[in-house]
Amino acid sequence: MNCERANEALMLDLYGEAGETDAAALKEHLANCAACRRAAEASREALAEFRREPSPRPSRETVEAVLAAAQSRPSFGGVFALWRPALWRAVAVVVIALTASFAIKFWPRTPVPLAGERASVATQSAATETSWDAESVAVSEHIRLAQADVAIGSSLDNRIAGLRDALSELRNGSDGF
Amino acid sequence: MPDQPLSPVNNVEPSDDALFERYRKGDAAAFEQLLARHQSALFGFLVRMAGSRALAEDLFQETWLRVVREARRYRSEQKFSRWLFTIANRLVIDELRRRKRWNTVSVDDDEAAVTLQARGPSAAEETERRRTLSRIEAALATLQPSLRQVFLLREHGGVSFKEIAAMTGAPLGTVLWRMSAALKHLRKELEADGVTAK
Ligand SMILES: [Zn+2]
Repeated sequence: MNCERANEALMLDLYGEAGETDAAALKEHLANCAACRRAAEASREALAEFRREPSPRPSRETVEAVLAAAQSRPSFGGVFALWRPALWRAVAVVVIALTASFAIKFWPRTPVPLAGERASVATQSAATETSWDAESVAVSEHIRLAQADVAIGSSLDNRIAGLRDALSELRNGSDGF
Repeated sequence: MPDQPLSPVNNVEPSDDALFERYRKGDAAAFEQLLARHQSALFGFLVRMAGSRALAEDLFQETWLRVVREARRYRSEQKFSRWLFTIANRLVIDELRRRKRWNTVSVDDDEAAVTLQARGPSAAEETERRRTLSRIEAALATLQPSLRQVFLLREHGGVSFKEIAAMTGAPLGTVLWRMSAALKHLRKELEADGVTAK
């Protein structure tokens, strides 16, 4: 270790940041180099002198102004912060419920045939095959949405199953014609 | 998230991070504790960096306001004190730059460390400085700002040399050299002041 490296190691050592190897090498260097020994001593004395003087303190007014500012920031603090996750959960539940109620409300408007109507629907669809394809896509879309919302309630499962049956039967019927 | 107990068990002081987390959840007392814990070191850093108590009062307030304002962005993997001093360091340097008292000319020897300081204060400012600052502060005021910065970040901020290197963008070797030069200068000034025995 040369004098320059020893000086670097000394700075690290003053704050306990020198690794074991560096600390050992520094010790050895200082034992053999009077100049570095004097420099090390001077550095320690300067530091001790600096630390003897108490650090200045901010004025009372400044500290009070900081405390006032910290307390008047309710945007992330206060009771609000504690129930915020609960609030978001509540919002999520309301949104899902609204979506579900809309989905259920508008469901019957899709021409889903009941058992008695199947034959006539099948006849119609045979006549207008392209429009029936479009309708079957619409029904599939409803199934997809219903599946997405399936977590809302198990009662939807029955609806989906019913719709799926209806769709496959309609498709079979349409193909058969 | 479970709250930490208000009175620490086994007399172990709550960590800065624990206090700050509590403050983020709305516990103003936790903030007060954090402030009490760091106010002296932070204010010392600012007074000695800025070379003015009045300016330090403003910067102290601004530093904590930023802590409050940016509380949500704080990531706990970074030590709170490191974050605090990063903010303070940025603010004081901006202010010194604004007042043209910060220069980044690199200094390579001890003489230059003292003589190459950024445009020094006027005679009137110097008189005022001597009157209001302690001898330590006066000694630091004549030190090149980038040397003063390393010394004070390490001494007041408890920021490690490696972290100072990252914070200032200077290589570790340069940071260590600046620290050593700052100590030499300090000793020389205090000796001239007749305080330290030769
Ligand atoms: Zn040596």
